[in-house]
Amino acid sequence: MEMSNQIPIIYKDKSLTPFVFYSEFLLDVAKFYSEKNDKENTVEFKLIEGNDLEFTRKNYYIDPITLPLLLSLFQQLKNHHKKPIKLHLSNTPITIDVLEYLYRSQFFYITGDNINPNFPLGRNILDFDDVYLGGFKGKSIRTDHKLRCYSLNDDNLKNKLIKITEGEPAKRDYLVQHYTYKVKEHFYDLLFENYTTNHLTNEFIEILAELITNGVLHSKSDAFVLMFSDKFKTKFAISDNGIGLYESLNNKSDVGDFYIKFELFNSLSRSFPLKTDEKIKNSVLILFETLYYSMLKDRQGLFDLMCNVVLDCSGYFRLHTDNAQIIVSARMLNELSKLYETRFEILNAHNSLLFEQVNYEIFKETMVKLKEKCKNQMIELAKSIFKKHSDDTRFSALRIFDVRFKGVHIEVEIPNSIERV
Amino acid sequence: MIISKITIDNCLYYHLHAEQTITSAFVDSGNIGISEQLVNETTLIKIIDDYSIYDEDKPEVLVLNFESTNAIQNNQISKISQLKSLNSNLILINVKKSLIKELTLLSLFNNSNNIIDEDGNFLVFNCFEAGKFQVIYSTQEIFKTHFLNLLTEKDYIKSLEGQERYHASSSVYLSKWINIKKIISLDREFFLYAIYNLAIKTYQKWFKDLKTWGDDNKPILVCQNLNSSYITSILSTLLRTDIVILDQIGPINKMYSTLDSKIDNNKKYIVVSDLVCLGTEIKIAKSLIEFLGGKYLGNVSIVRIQTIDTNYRSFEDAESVFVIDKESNKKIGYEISTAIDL
Repeated sequence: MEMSNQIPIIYKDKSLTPFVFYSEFLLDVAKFYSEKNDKENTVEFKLIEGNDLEFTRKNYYIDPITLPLLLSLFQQLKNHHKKPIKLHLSNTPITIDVLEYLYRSQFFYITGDNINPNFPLGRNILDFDDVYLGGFKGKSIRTDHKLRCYSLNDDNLKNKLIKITEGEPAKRDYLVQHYTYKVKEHFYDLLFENYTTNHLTNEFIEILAELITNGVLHSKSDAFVLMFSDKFKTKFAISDNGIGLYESLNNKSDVGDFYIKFELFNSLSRSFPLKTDEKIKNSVLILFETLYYSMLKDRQGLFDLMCNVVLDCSGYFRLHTDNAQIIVSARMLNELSKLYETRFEILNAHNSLLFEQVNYEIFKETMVKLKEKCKNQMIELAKSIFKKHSDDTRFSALRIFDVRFKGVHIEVEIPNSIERV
Repeated sequence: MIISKITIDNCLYYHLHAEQTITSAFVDSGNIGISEQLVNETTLIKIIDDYSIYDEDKPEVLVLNFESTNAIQNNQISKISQLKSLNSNLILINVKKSLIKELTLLSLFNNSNNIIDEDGNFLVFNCFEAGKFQVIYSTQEIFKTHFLNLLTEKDYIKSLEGQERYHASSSVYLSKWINIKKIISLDREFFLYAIYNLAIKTYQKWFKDLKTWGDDNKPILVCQNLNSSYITSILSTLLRTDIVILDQIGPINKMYSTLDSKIDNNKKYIVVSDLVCLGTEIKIAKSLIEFLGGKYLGNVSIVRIQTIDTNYRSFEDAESVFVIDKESNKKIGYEISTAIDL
């Protein structure tokens, strides 16, 4: 096999962050496929760039929240080629730290062929030589980051869901509860033994369980999850390579009495100010459409979760699909607070109907008004984001990438220091 | 299985955290014992199913106790609404303000008779617009009232006469015998609730300040007779800690020679009993633990007889869920005497 087939994952002195992943690493992979038309040629990866026998000082870093993205990509490639993807490892004084780091995050258990139930089940995504995995320094036994894979194929979930006949909300509730327990079990050390995050434990469990449920239920694929915690912050990343936000919304059969599919999408589309091609435009607009849909629902979902992260926990919420990513943070506090108030009114209207305090006619009247309000506020938010983006992309809440990355990818970052009221 | 269902007067009480603890300890896999803080769907469905059996003889008021609950699974307001449709006099007690906010309840029902504590949490939250009912909101009081009713109304206390009055381990005569074994068998669910309450108290006293759950410094529970081993095994599940069995310390003493291999140097121990009368068995267990190098922290029991007035003794090393004191003994009539009195 030629060396050129091997795409390096980590470059020296350059941390592999989600941004680098979306903007550079994906480009390398895309380039490989556009250059090699020969279908027989399968992409191969190597852990680090350069000659690993050099003993000069080099640093290789990987931001832990990039790991779910990497796994998601490798799984897509595996599904495409119908065989595990080759990963070339090396174990030298300069690679050992990053290798040990990956090893302890359970990366090699998940991507390999592990069937030992004490560790995560192997998904046969990568083909690597595990002879390299050893001789670690074992600096600390405590694990502060852990990778997991969730799938409806696990724990007989598919069959259990078939038996739930009360509709999608009931399935969701079932899965959220299931993952509440899984999250507690899998991230026990981080959730319960970490003094700095103790006061946020319940928030973390709820957020993770909700996001994993979103991942596996709508996307119809596996979801890769990482939780990471240090002194200052806790981060989660959830990545799936499923059908994406557009299809998932398009597939919905029951969207309630008020939401009209792609209403906001079409309205924003008509006045879209950024000069991009159609695909990129669509992946930007679907982000807003998804949040809008979530806002009108009678059940709490993605929008509420985002508000919980940003407003209650002073965190960051990043949502990526296809070619676009939206970064929601305290920087859009004003717009978000307004939306949150409207959301509260909407939930309240739904609950008043639920408790039979109002009849359907009154409810309908209220909802029609609230829906208009909500739509206008969303348009306002979108427009202000678009404007800032065309002024200066560096500080934009929107990020646009040339290479499409399938699925939905969410990163959440929450500072540990905040006091909850 | 519902363990916390208690009826007092016209009110029916369910304690969500107790039910959740049982759900996660015995039904689901990820047991974190009583440090569970989030109420999930299964627990609410369990309560709805349990309450649905009431038809004509429905209690007037349905009370959900949220004590120790800090979070609720998303989108469970529909379950609350289901309960409300089963009994429109729905009252929530000991609810954190954050939960009321999350459930958007305040904008649905703003009853002026709600009782709010100094932190803004709701001791009583009425899920109806106007009016009020007399409910007890102290979890302790609900439990104790029911326990006392149970002891006196059911046949759990036996009067002792003649030879039987002699109490082997403490050399005194007793007028009554409280049949804990019978409660365990006949009121199994409620007894689990009693153990749950004991776990909460034990946690508050000796576990709360431990840095983490995986702490090696965690106290170990010691059981010393048959009833106590039943209690200890459940208690250890709820507290996620270890057990040591010092078999047959009471009522009839029988020593095993292997004792020293069970007690570890410098580990902390809590002795568990079903009922503490004069504390002789506790003292034997304490001596054994300390002789073998362990550290004795205290004792926990379901029932404790308060033989010394609290003005004279603080009982700092003792924890129990039901104390027979002067007040409660009016209904029970427990007497300890010696041959001198008789």
